[in-house]
Amino acid sequence: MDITLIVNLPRQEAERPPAVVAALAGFCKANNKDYDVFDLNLNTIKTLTKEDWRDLQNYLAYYTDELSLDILQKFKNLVIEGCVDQPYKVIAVSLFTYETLRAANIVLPLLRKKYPDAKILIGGHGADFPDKDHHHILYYKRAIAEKFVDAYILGEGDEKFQEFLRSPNSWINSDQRHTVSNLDDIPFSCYDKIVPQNYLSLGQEGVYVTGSRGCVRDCTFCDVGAIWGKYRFRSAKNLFDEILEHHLKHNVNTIEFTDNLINGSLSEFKKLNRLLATAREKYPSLKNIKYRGNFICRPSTTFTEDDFKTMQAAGSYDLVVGIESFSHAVRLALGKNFSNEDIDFHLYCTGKYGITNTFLMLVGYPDETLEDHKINLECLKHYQKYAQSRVIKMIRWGTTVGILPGSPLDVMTKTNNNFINEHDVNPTYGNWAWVNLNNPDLTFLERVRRRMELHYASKRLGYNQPRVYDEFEDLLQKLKEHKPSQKILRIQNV
Amino acid sequence: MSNTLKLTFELTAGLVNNTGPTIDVLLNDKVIISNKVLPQSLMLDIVVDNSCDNRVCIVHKNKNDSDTQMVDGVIVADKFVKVVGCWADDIVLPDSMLYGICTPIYFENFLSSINYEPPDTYTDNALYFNGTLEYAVPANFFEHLSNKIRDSDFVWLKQMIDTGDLPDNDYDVKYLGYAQDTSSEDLILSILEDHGYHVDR
Repeated sequence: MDITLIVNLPRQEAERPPAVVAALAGFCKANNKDYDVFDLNLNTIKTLTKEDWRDLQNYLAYYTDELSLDILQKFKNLVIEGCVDQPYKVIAVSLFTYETLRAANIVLPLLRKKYPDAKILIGGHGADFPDKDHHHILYYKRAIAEKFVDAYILGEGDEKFQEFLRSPNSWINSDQRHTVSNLDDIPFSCYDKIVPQNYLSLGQEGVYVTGSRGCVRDCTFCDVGAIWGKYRFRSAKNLFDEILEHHLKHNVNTIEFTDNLINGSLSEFKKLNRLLATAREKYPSLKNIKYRGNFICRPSTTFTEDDFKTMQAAGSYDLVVGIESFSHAVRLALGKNFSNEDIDFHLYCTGKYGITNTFLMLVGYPDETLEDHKINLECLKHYQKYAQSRVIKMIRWGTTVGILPGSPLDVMTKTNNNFINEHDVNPTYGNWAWVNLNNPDLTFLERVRRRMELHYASKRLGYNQPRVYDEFEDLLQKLKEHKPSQKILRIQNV
Repeated sequence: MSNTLKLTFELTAGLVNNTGPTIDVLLNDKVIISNKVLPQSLMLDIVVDNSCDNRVCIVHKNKNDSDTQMVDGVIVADKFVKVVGCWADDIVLPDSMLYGICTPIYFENFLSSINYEPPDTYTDNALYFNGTLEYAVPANFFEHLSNKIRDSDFVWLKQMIDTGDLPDNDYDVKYLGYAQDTSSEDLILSILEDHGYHVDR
């Protein structure tokens, strides 16, 4: 029988089985194709020492261009040891993000050598991402040219992957980025061979579930619209059925939504909460279910305290919320029209019903003034008790605004003479050297200065901040490359 | 500027013949609620001065032998008061904070029916006897709460590290956010200073 090998590459989180692997497994199952899973990401995390994993991560995440030969060999050994003797017909390698590309450069040739007769297929966001190490050529183009892979799927691969499985020998590659209109038609993810209990969840075994793709907003800084196109969502019943299946079959109680926002379709979201809350009568074990996901702050008129109460009864326990700025003026400018009173209400309700939040913030939006920055500092004090009580479980300030390719801000700056770059910078990961001539004091150095002030204020007031190491490494690298523009200095001095 | 804190206690009560227990509520030894007969469930709001330590005391009183009904040796109805939820400024507090110091007044009949010495005080969230259930509310309550949560997280983290059960060595960095010092910080500040950008720490 033809067997497919699904490969997952570092670096990624390993708290739960990777969503894409479960999705691909679901497609194999739906098409009666046997499959194996090789989660190299999990293997690497579990096998390498803490120090070696840190060094490998720094290399994979492009914080450094160096990797010791010793660690490289250890990683290669993991690949070689993990490749079982099996005549795989198809090897599907997921390139989840650009942070898998350096691993792909190591792994794909090894897979090709081990399985010369298999059709190797790549897909995922990393597949058509520019390869920084090879003149920024789109990864799939190089992978095909170098014969590391035979096939690629760009965009949403749900339908196309199944097509490939059914006849890999007659597959024709296409540069079209595919989309799926009706998400209810997609087979459920399958966790039969990627047991949640094997992942790094500390007793809170869970799975990822995707309820929607895209976003209902068009925030100027964000590239979700460019990547996912139109917002599409699953019906509440369809989503509930999948959650129930995973809960009953694999005894998982933690659901993590991969959606850019779980409350995009308010009607379906409210329906899902009602289904989860009321199903506990029929399935008492559902009372252990809890879920987390990305959430947009909604006006209290559209999402009431009762809605929060039902959400909590359904199992909501943790939200990631894009607040971006405590300045309403900045939020309006970037496309998020909720008021500070709406933030107050959100915190009141989540505090009352025991739901924690991670606030995602932006520093240095092009229109951000010093006054807006002061508002951020003042609001940190205003909301301090929510941080102290962990209603705001963490606040994340990021690495200052980078203009992402394809985002509305990217389009705006290209058609607007008011934006210049202080120096050349590769925009692939976000152009960070921009200056808005209407706000010339907001140079890159000023953005970093504000970022550091927010860090210290948050720390002083008792806010927990995640991933400070990664973010400061990123900032330091940029600062080392940065060359302040004399032109900007002249404008500032006028 | 006033520095007050609103405490909300969610009380449930055991009823006998549809009548609940009688309670007083004291704030710092001063009676603020007197002779309240509790319904099955009640939300109790108390506003305290957050600039000083406070004590909230729930006094269960007037319970007598007939307020515990037994059939064939099994209690079928009993008057009691229980704290099942607590909020500070509408922020729900961890379950561990529902537990206060109980100082019961045991019935003579009860004492003569047992062959051990019951404790004078114990930690619980319910009063089945007459007596007091006292909560200490430290000044600057949210700072105290933050420290309590942090201490609890660190105990848990240490336990996980000691037993080797911590699956991800970056667990704190990713999921808790306490680790906020890095080696690159000073370099970042130094570069900013060199260019005349001062950071207010």
